[in-house]
Amino acid sequence: MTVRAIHVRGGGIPAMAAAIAFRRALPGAAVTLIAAGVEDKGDAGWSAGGPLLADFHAKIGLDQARFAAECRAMPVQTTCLTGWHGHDVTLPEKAEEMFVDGAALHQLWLRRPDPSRASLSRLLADPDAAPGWRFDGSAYRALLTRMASAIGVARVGEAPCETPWLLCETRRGENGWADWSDWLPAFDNGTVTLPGETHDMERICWDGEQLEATSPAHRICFSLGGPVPGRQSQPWTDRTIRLGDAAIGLPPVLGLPLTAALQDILRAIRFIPPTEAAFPAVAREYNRQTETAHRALLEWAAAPFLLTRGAAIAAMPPGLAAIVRHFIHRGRLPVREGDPVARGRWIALLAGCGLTPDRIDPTARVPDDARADHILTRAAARHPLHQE
Amino acid sequence: MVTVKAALDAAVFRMARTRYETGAAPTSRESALDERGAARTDGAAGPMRVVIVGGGTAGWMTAAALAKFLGRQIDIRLVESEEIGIVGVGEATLPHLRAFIRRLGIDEAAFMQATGATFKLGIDFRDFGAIGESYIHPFGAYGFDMADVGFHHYWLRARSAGSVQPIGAFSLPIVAARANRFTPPLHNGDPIDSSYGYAYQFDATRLAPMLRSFSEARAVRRREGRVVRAERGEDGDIAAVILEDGTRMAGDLFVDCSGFRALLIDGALEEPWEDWSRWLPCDRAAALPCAAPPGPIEPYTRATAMASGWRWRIPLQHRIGNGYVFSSAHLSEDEACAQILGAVEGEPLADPRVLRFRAGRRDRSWVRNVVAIGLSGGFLEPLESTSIHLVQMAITRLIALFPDREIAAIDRDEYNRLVDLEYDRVRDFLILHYHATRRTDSAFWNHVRTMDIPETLSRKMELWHAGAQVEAYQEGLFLEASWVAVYLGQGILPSAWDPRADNPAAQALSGAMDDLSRTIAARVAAMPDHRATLDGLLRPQAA
Repeated sequence: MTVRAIHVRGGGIPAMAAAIAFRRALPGAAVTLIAAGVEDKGDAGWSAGGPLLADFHAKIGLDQARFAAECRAMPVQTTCLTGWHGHDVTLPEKAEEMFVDGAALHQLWLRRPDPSRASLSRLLADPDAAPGWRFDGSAYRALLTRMASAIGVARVGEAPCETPWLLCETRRGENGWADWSDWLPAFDNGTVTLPGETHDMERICWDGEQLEATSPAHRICFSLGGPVPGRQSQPWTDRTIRLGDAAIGLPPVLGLPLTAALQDILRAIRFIPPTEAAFPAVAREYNRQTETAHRALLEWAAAPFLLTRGAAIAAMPPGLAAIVRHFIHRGRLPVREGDPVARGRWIALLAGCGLTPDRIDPTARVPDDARADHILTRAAARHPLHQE
Repeated sequence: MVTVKAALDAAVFRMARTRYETGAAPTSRESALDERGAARTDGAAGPMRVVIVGGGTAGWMTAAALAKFLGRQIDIRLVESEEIGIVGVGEATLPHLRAFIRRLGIDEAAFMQATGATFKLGIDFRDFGAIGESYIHPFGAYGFDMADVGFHHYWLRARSAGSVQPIGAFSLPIVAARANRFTPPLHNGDPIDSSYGYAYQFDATRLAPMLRSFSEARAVRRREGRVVRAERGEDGDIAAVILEDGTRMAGDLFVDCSGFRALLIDGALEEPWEDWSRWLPCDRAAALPCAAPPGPIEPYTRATAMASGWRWRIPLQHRIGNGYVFSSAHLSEDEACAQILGAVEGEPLADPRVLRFRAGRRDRSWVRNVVAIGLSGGFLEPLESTSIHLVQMAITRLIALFPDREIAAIDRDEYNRLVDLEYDRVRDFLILHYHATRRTDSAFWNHVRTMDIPETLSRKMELWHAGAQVEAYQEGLFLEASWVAVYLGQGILPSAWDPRADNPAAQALSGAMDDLSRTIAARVAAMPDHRATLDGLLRPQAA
């Protein structure tokens, strides 16, 4: 086997997760964690991840029950953005764009507004979807550290002399950073202020100065300031792949930073170059896919900040502007390849932020009123729609 | 008819946008209603008037789908001339057509009975990589992923150790096709039983009449006549088409299904054609039906490389469709006709008919109020049976973006973006079949082997060479399994594979692969013969 040594530099959760994942993927390769000069971010004693977390744990062999117990992890099915410039937006962890009789379900909902009916986000939510998780970040990092040690990840204080096959860098550099400050606020690491509340949803409040997230696990308050949001435009150069904070800067909501890090780790594993000659081609494809995913995640993160304050479309990042234009035009989303955000979540967000389409698709006008009501009622009751 | 409520809804929607985009005070309900009313080009109320020009496969597929999914929202008229024959493209199809037929509500057996259809599990490519080699591009994947690693990586590793069967042994549709057996896939969760799809091989000249009946039963009005010119409105849109007898057919949206003549998109609007013949030099086809020989019916289409192109063989219930797709720069029409006559296996049922075409697509398929669907919008040779799929794809996009009274640039742009994407990706896939060859026996193959290829394809091939990776995309017809089939089938072996495929012990991997091929062989052995399946399906129809 050509791949003999993989180095991971960093001391946070993404670095631990990457080291373990690479070790599991390539048991014959030496994986070394380099912690030299790495400051402990502290993780604020609190962390968040999306539904991908459980999948990732399955891939690396971490029992989800153990994770839940040791990290005081609590599931979250729904996030409510409360009081964002007067808007309350409910976002399920997973929601799909669904069609019945050739008409989009959300368009039927828009066509037949009825306050007594289930909300659009509830209508589109997948009740069987895996939940997101809110948990003790310090405990999680400790768990991953023990796991890394147990499966043979070496840990050193300084970079070994030999050049690795691949270096995973989780510390942010200055070069090549695409700055998204025009569209996204920067936040500090946050301060845990109070114990959380016991319910299965997370509530996030934003007053333009502070962001407060209350989950079943914790309540945490983020202030403005901190690393510049955005993305590394070339996350893979030569033998170095930038992961986690080194690759993308996202606000600490909806478990986005950890979700992005895990997605990148799994993508990096798919693209481990098997030979020296393979590096340029696989790095190019990795960067292409990563750029698409990162842009989409940043647009998703920026959307509530921009939409709830009524920002002009021209002041939005281009991809988000296209989404908004299409939705306002006729309640549709443009086709977006490589967007990790499910289309149903986008619809729930856009509608929740008060965007109302000019018109709906003609296909949504085909069912008569009784049929449209019937479809919506059955959808709300979770009756299998394919039986319609 | 638009209801008052719908108009009010629309007015409210309009106000919401005004507030959002400009921050201005809400428009009054009355003024918003006025605004919408004025937007109608002719000021008249009523359903949008759609005029479909041309009644071949594309025309009647469009009419049927619009009538089914938009119902009384639109008024559909189709004009065609019996004097103009149907090209009848695409006797061989892709699995997507099943969804189209099903969503129309047409019974599969009735469809197959009416069109003389047989089942299809893939395409058998012969002599493309090198003379004497063949492979089937199946409607399904090889094996299945293990530990998130594609099966072909494990196969490549086993192959390098010299201890593995051809990769076709790990594909149920390939093994079934070679054995002339067929049964529809079982959606029982079993990774082998549900590992494949199927399509149809059918008489395309019978599809249009079938869909005509379907459409006319749903209020589509057919007009016999030949369109001689288009009338432009003051805004530059097409206002009407004028028939030979002087009849004027006015419309709000025109669908140009007039085939290569492209009466509206080219004749009236002069939308440029993006020529791809530098990559796909075949520009003629000599088509020839012949009698079906006795014996089994192959549940696959054959594509056999010839000195100046390739020829198809499509087995239907009642005959065999044949044709030689060739480059006129390398072969004369007379020579092509002679060669196809000499190649067919049954008694010819007609003289060879030569079709002329040019690979490419319109710069934009939707221009002003004209949407070009079918040959008027683009043409890619039938090497991968994509013609009807491209029609179906365009119809699906049109329905999704169908205008609500006004035609908006944002819808047109999105439609054109998606249609272009599909064409461009299919184009690259077709070019691969020619470029990935080791043939040196003719000027034609020397040309396609050494020609420059699109950068998009070049990038894909580099990625494959580097580590057996396939460029990932979600939109597009041919995904990873198809690319792997053609790469490996035509002898394009990568320099390495995913290093994770090295994880299993060699013996365990070998054992697992043997088990898989044995299981597939056993499942196929238990399948009925293709003809028996057809007889079982069609006999009740005949009765």
